[in-house]
Amino acid sequence: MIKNDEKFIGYIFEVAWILPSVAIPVAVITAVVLTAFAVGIRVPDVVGRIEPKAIAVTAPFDQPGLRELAPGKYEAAIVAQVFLFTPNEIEIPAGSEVTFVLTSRDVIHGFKIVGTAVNMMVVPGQISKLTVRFDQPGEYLIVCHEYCGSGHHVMSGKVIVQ
Amino acid sequence: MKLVLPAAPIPDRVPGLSRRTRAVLFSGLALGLALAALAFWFAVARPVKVLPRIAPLSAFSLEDQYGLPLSSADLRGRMVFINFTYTGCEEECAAQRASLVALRETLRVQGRLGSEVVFLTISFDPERDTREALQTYAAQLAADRNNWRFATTDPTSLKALIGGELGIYYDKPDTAGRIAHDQRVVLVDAHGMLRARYRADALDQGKLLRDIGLVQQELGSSGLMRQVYEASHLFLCYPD
Repeated sequence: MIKNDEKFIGYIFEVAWILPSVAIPVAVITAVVLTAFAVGIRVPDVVGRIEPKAIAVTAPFDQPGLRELAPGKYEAAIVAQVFLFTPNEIEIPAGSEVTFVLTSRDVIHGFKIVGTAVNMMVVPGQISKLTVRFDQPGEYLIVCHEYCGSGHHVMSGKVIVQ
Repeated sequence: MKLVLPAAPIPDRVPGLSRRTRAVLFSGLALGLALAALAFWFAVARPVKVLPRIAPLSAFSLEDQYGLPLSSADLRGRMVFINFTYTGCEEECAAQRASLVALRETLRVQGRLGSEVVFLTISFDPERDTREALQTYAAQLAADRNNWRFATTDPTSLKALIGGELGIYYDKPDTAGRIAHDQRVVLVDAHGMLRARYRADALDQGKLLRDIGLVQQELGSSGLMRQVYEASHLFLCYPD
């Protein structure tokens, strides 16, 4: 009788360890799937392809810069290359919604605007796109946060919100 | 020193679990694995393709070349290709016009024009594109009012619809009346959902016809097949 009880307690301990090790990954995967599909959380992904050699003749990168789509809505077409963003300074009024459309001329770059949710990779041959709203006036630093070569640390820009 | 390992007790059966419970557990596990494998295959092999549902288009109201009101609700029931231009656009828009006319002719031959697909041209130059100008333009394209309408409205609403909602840029007219603009065509389905955007200066007939086919197939589906299309949306099974 005593031996059987010990066996049973051992079994309970085993189950207590095994069950969470199954339940935790299942819970995590469920959370990821739910947020991706039901809540619609998406990582900024490829929205189009572009031939890097044809950047100079392909809209909107043939004329990189800021343009107003509608009152309070802007589109900023930015070309990244070693070691600069073109353009590297953008001025907008507070409360504006800006869609950043980027591509790279050479290697993989990063595009992060400090203090906002903008954080994406800029890959040659691909177009990256992200929309963000600037409510607080101020200067927002743009940095390349994907190591791209010897001048990586000088690759920056800014968004001036007035 | 001799290491003595205690003999591990090997239970003849898992305590607390009957044969029946074990059978249920194992078949549940097998079913779960089979479902996961099916979902994985569906997501990777993408056997059924759909056009993405980009966004529902909010309501708009325009006025066509005969002065008749044309609202977004009037466009429901058939898919519609909408292009954005102005009648003064000469050689810059020639490729766009030719492509759309060619697409219309193909659809006419296939018997889908008017019944499944219609066209709408929205002018962003309401000042110059009066009813008469739009009528002349429609006549140049030999457009039938039952399947191709030409419309415009006030500048503020146009900017909100074209620039604000669809993200298509156009500038103010310059001194010669020319307007710098993005060349875009969009496909809106029978429910008013934006399904595709194209570069209007490089339209590929094959791709357009394929997309029309995909949207129409999905619209006409029912029962289990409808659920399969929903699954394709869930797994982002979009054509390349």
